[in-house]
Amino acid sequence: MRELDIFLKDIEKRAFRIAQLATHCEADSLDIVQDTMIKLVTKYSHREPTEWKPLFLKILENKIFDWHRKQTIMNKLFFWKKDNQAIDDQVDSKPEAVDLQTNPESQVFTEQLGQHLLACVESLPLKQQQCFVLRSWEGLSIKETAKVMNVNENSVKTHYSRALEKLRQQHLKLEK
Amino acid sequence: MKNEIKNTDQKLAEQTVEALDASIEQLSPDISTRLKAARRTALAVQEKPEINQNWHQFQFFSPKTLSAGLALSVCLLVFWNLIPLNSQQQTPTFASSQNLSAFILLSTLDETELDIIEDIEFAYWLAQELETQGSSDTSSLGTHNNG
Repeated sequence: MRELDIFLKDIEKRAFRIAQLATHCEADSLDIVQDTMIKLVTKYSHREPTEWKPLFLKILENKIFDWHRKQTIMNKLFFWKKDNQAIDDQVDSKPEAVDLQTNPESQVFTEQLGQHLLACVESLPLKQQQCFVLRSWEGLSIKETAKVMNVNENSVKTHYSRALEKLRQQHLKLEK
Repeated sequence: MKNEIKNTDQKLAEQTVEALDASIEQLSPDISTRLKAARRTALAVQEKPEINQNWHQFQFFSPKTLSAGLALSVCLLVFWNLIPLNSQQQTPTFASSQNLSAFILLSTLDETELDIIEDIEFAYWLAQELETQGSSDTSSLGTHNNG
């Protein structure tokens, strides 16, 4: 019980950020994280603590993909609202153009670069984004990422390399 | 060239991870509070499991369940064997009582009386045959008239 509390406390903020990157919505991200926690606690709390992290991430990924499926259906049903929402999404997810020439200080540069990179990650396609986050941030191996995302290992490699390529292109644009 | 790209990618990934870590530290206190509340809710669910959740915890192969199942199957087997035995015993009694009365009746009769009974039965049969022939003739006449 205490171990589970510590585990959830440790992972909750990262989980929220992962969900937020994927959904661009704070309230929905909180719901996703809460649902994930409840499912882990009710179904898998009896498992070994070492198994909790991959299980938690797998549930989180499933919830995120479910959310996206639901959104796709909702967009199809309420197609007249789609245009307005798409414009809003574009505004939200558009990587911010950072003018580095006007901010010569290194700290400011780092902050702005970080913001720019986050915006780039946010604008990545869902699978590439999740693959990148799981591999780079959560430190999962290719095999573990494949298991969490329900895809094969080659797909993980492809998604990861494409994500890096897009980040590199964005970075090059920024440097120019 | 490949190494350069690899180094750039690695550097980019590291910078992105740093940015992600920094973004967590910059989360608003409101979000932190709500996450804490979510965690408490999840843990409270574990402390008070619903009645339906106990069903999943039911162990089919526990010694108690197995012994109860075995006792039930033995009872069923016993009853299964008892019920047909009763019905088998009752049916022959009923049939044998009828046969027995007929046997007693026949054993009391003489040969002449038996002959008379046979004659009566033959007459009865003949009358029935004639009746059936008569009805078939009238029906065939009816069909001829129609034709």
